[in-house]
Amino acid sequence: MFEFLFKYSPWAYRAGELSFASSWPLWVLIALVFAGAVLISVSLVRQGHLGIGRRVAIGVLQAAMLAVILVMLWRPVLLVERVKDRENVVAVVMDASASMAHGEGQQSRLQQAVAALEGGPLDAFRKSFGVRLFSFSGAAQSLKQLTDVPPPGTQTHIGDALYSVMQTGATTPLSGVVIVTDGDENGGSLSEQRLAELASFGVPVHTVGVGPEKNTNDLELEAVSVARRAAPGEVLNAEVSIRHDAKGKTRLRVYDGDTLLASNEVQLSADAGVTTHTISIPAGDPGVRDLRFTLDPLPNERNVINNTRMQVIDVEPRKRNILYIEGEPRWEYKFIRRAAETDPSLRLASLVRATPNRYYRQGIENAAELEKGFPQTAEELFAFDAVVIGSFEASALSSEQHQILKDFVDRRGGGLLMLAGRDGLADGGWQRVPVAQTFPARLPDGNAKTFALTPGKARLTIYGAESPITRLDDDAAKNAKAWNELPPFADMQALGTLKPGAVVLLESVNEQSHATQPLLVWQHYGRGTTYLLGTASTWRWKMRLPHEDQRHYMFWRQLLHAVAADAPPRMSLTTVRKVYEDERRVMVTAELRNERFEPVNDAAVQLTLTSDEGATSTVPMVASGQGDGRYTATVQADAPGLYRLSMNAKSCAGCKNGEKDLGTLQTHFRRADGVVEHFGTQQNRPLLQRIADSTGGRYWRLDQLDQIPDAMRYSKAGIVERQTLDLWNLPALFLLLLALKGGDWLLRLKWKTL
Amino acid sequence: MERAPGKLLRATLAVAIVLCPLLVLGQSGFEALPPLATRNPKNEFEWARLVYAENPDFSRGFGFGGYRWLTDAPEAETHLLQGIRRLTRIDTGSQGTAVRLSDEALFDHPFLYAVEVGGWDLSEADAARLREYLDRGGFLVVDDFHGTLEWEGFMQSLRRVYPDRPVVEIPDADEVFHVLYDLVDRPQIPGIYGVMRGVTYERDGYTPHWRGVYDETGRLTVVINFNMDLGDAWEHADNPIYPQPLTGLAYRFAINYLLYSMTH
Repeated sequence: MFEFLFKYSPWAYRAGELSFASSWPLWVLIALVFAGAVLISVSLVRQGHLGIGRRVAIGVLQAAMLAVILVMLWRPVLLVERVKDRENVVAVVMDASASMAHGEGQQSRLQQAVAALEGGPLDAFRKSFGVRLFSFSGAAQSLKQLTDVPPPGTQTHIGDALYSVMQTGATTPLSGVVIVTDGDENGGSLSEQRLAELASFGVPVHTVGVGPEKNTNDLELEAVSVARRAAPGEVLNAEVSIRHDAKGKTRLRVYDGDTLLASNEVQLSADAGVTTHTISIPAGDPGVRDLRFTLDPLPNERNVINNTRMQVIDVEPRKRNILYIEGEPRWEYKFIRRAAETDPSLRLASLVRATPNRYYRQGIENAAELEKGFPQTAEELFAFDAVVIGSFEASALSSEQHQILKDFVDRRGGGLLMLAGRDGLADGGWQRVPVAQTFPARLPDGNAKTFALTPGKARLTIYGAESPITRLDDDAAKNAKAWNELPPFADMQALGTLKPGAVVLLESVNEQSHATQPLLVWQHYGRGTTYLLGTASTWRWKMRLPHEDQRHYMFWRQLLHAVAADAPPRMSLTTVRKVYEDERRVMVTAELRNERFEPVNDAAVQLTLTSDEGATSTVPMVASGQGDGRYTATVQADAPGLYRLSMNAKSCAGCKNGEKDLGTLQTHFRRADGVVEHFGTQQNRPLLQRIADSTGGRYWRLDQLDQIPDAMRYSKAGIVERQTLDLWNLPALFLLLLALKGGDWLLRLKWKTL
Repeated sequence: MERAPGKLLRATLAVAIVLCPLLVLGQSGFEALPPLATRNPKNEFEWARLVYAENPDFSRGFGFGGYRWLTDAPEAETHLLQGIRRLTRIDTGSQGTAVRLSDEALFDHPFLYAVEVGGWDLSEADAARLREYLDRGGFLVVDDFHGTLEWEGFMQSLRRVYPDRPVVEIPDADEVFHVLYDLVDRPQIPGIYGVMRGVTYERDGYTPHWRGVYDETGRLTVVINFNMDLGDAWEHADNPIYPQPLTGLAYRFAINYLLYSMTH
């Protein structure tokens, strides 16, 4: 109908530019329309026997008719760029990844797409274009006909597929690309850079979305976030994201091989979307934990593959190594030690200045350790992952010790926890030493004492509510209640002004004035982190609660782990991910440092890959050349399974004095096939929209496929010709004239003024 | 039959003559009472003396039987606390306090001292409360009881506290004997009356014993100074007749106990 009335396709009007072909200027047209309107008005004024309303109605009809005639005389035209028929090519790209094998109803998404194309759009393309067919999961493959689509692929690389199709345009006049897909990109091939590269070809990509935009009756374990390494006996918190479409509940189970490690019931929130849940997992003995997180399926759930995710954790045969120095015997020290001693993954080596001249040592590994008090060399201090400083005045350390303490945080990447006390924080003069730069707050610098015996209560902040440090219960509401019900502590110390990067996990509420101040604050500094705790009487949480209550011990174990956990080991071996789903190339990085944590750049590093069937291969790791102690290698893991990577490093390769064995490290990763395509199976319309917008194309639903050939004719890519389409003879204009004149005549007849 | 007013007056006077010195003594004893412990002490460490009920079966007889828990107070702690302040970095006040097992303040004082425990009498409720205190991390030092009979008196109540844990001799290598001072040679520390009599024992308590109760992690929760009197050694630190080396040793024991309780 549109083309009957307006002669041309609506896409011509969208793409074209309206103009007038007459050589007469446009202002003459406007002037004539105006003059005609005036003349009509004057003639109607003389017909005084008609009422004003009737004269206006007739005047409008006559003036409109005059205007339409004049416009037609000025010869309106549409200037369009239109691809030349039969001289251009359109690429039709079909997603053949495994996610297209999912279906709603009787047909798979792929079958729906093929049926929609063969139902007419493909023939329509062929009338004006040469058509090239492609399919893709990884790279794009050329097809002779749609029925040649290969078996489902294990990944979706939309970016790579489009890029390879675009490259064919270098030798072919490509007017556009039509990609039919569910948008389940999982190959990491659609970065912003790749989108910009696609746009630079100047070829519009029309994306056709297949599949529902929201899955129904489906749970998906969207992501699992958990530490890559752990200490023996440590309890790890894993955060899982569950995508769901309705309120309900499910059960999350975590297995190591066939052994059940943890199980929680998860309430799925009322609003459809994503629910996050935290589950605690015991790390167990040294070795590898090959974890499987799985959700109980919903009744009649069809896709259950996406209810399971794998993760791998290396439990290293070393404890978190923490140094605690205390300037005076005090109860806080005793109860911190007791908390740490309940956790076999923590080693708390401590020094208490029992008398003015003597330190009492606990948790030491040999008689010589800490014999001279606080470490005096970087080698000695950097052997620890974290340092806790209690009521200990800064002046008790030398300037060299202060410098290595600052380097401990900044350069070594260690954790530092400063505790309140008579000689702690500002009252111990810690605001005036180099390590103060690493603090998350500027400590008060006046003469007034900042440590006061003022009772207060701890209160979670919004950050504290989400932090694993202050998680006393996995359930957020129960966690807040657990904190609210803790007994008050007996003292507080002002922490000063927070710095911009500070994160406050706990506030203290003064029992008398109800004023609040930061209680537990942390920030990153350099490679490390620093924490401040503004009370020295958390031990009241242990002594004022029944002995079965573990909240004090939990808090301290979690805090000590957090302070120490981010400290990088002297040597590390890491893979980009711990689980490679449908991806075979694994990039491995080793980082080597000496006892002073200075990069080792002259090492000979060998990497051995061992599959779970025992096959091994060895490759050298190559130094980055940046002087940062980094070495990299890429290994190929073809078969699914659990792999072990072993690195052996020898320093001073080729030195006359001989090589020195730096040590051996191990890490593990898992390879899995046929998994990734079962996640994120709902149509990713935002992604498809973004591709179309970036390239000048358009997003279409599958039922709009038949409109694309017409739109494509007005593409600006390929071989195009400029056309001037006359509009003066549009049937719609003649019908309009007829309607206007007919209306005028009928009204006059009715009012008897003919 | 009516009594003669003169006889009544004489009887009243006689009773008054007998009671007056006792009342005076009693009042002076009340004046010397350590204050009851309060919550949130003003110093990190506050010497807390355990107030307990006395077992009449093990009473010392007429006079001071109701105040065995108060023996040696306040001089014992005022002397000792000066030593602790001088010799260590522990933040402590100069006066001790007293605490009952029923007090909420009990749990703000993780170190307890109980004296003459041969005559203590802990009810089931007291015993449960003390067990809870020790299980939360509290520490108890008992002292000044001697001989077989008083040991039995002590154990009658301790068995209610720890029906499941044995009392054992503390080995020489235990950290409590080494945390600051190496207390390998441990002579019997006598009470002042033993010193005055030229002996170191009381009753049949000829051999000193350092005994203890350990928790499931191997930490001492109760230190038992049996057949010795540390309290007198502290109390009579200013008494020329009390041997100075034994006073010094008693201080060392106290400091080791305290440091142990603040570090373990």
